[in-house]
Order: sequence, then structure tokens, then C-alpha cells
Amino acid sequence: MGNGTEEDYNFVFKVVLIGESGVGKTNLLSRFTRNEFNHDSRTTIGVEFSTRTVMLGTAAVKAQIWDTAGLERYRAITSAYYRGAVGALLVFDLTKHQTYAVVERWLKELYDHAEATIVVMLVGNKSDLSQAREVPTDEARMFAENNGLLFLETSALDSTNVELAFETVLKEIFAKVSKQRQNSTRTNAITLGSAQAGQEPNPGQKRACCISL
Amino acid sequence: MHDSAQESVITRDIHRTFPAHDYFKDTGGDGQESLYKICKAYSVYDEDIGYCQGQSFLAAVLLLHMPEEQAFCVLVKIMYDYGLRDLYKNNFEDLHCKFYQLERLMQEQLPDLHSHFCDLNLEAHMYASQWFLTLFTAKFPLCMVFHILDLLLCETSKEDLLQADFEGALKFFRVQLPKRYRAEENARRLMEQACNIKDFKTDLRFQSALEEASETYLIDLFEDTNLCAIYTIYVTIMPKDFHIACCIVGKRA
Repeated sequence: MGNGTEEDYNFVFKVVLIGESGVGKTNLLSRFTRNEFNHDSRTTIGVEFSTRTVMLGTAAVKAQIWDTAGLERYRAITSAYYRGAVGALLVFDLTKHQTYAVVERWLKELYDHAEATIVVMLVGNKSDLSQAREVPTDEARMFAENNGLLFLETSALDSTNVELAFETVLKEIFAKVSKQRQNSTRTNAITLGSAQAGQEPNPGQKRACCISL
Repeated sequence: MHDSAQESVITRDIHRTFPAHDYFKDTGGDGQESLYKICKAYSVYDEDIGYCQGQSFLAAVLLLHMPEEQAFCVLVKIMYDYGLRDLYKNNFEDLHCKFYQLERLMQEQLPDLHSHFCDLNLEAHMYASQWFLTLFTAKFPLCMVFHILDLLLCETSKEDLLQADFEGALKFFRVQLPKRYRAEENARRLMEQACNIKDFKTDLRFQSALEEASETYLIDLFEDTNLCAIYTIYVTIMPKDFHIACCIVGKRA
């Protein structure tokens, strides 16, 4: 999986980063899209936006990632961004149990607003701070399995698994889309509702958004 | 003691408010300590709204110009008398109203750009949440405020934005725009232009109550203080900056 050029892409996948305030969502995003980590990152107010185009096999996939503010108060704003998202990284800080304890609530929030087909990965961030760990890997993994989520532990600081996390989510979405396209080709039917998981941009005219579900 | 949950939110935000600024960069330093006190005090003072994430930026900007007590009073004034507080009420209903107004203003004044943004599905909340919720303090020198969009769209940026795609346009708001106004000269020039289009603004006021509503709190705030060009977060504070505090406090207290 490598960087494609920004201009050339076959798919646009809208992905949201959610989770409590201060778990490192913004730095995960900057690590993935710009390979940067900022010790002095600012509080995210509302939402921030970033993209990166990656190659999955022969297909160029543009990940359009919305980084949301984690504070409860802002959910009234940020939940609007769940709509049309085909992927989500639900991030907690593995050194702060409280950020893990509320994961279930986040999940509910997500499913309330997003499509049921959305690909969700549970991400335990800050794995570089292993001496301060408060959430056992097995516990989080078990929770993920029971809830049908993907799971990885990452460190935006030292880059561990960041690439892999996004890549895995995008691949999973891609697999769903491919399957969906095969099905719709075979049945020659128009799919409505939640089954379609991605959108191909109209050749020649680039669509700005991937509201597709 | 108010609410320990609020306290931890404040604590977390203090380190993430102008973390590169000399006054606020040190953990446990004077800047962070004052900032904590003001935010905490506000959260106790305003029980309904409490501390709002983003408020720390506004508080920090005030703190760069005046002592704690005054900064707190000015913060309270801005929140209550200038209507910033209303934005946070009822699940941000008012904020969404402002987005709507902003988009209608664009539609009227800058129809081509408005339709371009519509084509891109680019909506005001994607770039303006921070602007409104933090009074432009989180990304900009405070002097930029409301006229930024109108102004920048009146000049060269409009051409660039018309060429921009979805990502390009959002990147412009995120990166280029704040960068441009870090240069004091650029900021000052923008403010001059802002003052010069006062007629435009006044006309609007007569033409449309809607537009007036959209501008009210910011215009009020910054008409009273023609000194806002001084509010440059990224540059060294000068003695005259202190006037703005007096100005706000004096006129509004």
C-alpha cells in the first residue's frame, strides 16, 4: 500500500475518528496523513478534515477523514459527520481506563447516526506508554470481538500500527464495496438503503463528498 | 468545587491552548495556571453552560492583555452580553442558525462561490464551527473575526477558491488562511479594508434584519474596539494592546 497521487482515485471513503477528548485522535490523523506527531497539538473544536490517497491493489482509494472533537458537548455538532461515513476509528487512551469505559456509549452514538454497515475499528492509542497502561489488551480485544469490531493498539507517537489501522479499515471497506458491486452487477439491481458501502466518483467530474449510503 | 468532570476537561485543555506560545507553553507556568483559574472560575460561575471547550483560547487571548480578574470579567461579558454563550445553548441551536445566516449571506453577496461550495457539498459548519465558537481565537489573530470570510472572498482568494476542489477549499481554511494573517502587515491591511467596507455592512443592516442578526455580536464587539487589529495572537504584545482591555471593560462593564 503506497501513496497514490492526490488527483487520481477510484474511490472516496469517508472515515470518522471518534472517542473521548485527549485520546490522540488528531495525532493519529496527522501521523497517517502527514507522518507528523505534534507534542503540542491543540484541542480540536468541532471537526478537522484531512485526506490521504492509498493504493489497495490496483485501486486508488482516497480516505477522507473527519477528526472530531471528543467532548460530550460537541456531539451535537460532530454526530452530523457520522452520516455517510463508511468507516470509523473509535479511539481510546489505553493509559486512561475512563476513555475505554465509555466506548460502548460511543458505539451506540455511532450506530444511531451512521449506517449499520459502517466498518468500525476499536483503537487503543498510546501503546508507547506501556508502563502506564490501564486497559489490558485482552479485555479490549474481547470487547471488540463481541461487538464485531476490528481491534488494534497504536502509538501515534512512535507510529506503531497507525498505518496498519487505517489500512485495515480501508481494506475492509473496500472488500465490502467490491462485494456489493459484484452483487449489484450480477442482479443488475439498484441497491437502496444501507447495503452500498462506497461510491465511485463520476469519471471526469469529481464528486466532493462520498455520501453514499 | 463544581464538577470534577469539568475540571479534568479544563486540565486537559490547558496544555492544548496556544501550546507554542511562550506564556502558555510551560506546564505549571504562570500562563497555564492563570488560564486554569479563569476557566475553572467560569465553569463555576455559569452553571448551565459551564466550561466550554474552546473557551480556553478566548480566555488565553484576554490573559495576554490583562490580569486574571479583568480577563475573567471580560470573558463573562463576552459570553453573556455579546451572546457568545447563546451559541452553546440548546445543543448549539443558535450556532446552526449562524451557519445558516452565513450561507445565506454568501448566497446573496457571493453567489458564484456559494454555488461552488454547494456543488462541493461544502457546508459552513465544516469550517466555521471553530470561528464562531472561539470567536476566531483558536486559529486566528483575534482581529480577523467576522469580516474574514466576506473580505477574503472579496479579494484574490475568491479566484483561488473558485478553482479549488473540496479538499483544496477546506485546506485553504485550515492552513493558508491562518498562515497569511500571521504576518502583522497582512492582518493590519485586512482590518483597514474591514473598516472601509463599513458602508457595505451598514447597507446590509438596513436591507435585511437577517443579516443584522448574523453580525450582531461580533460587530458589536469589534465596532466598540477599533483596536482589534492589535489582537494578534502570534506576535509580540505591545503596550497599546492593553488599551483594548480597558476599552472593552470600560465601555461594557
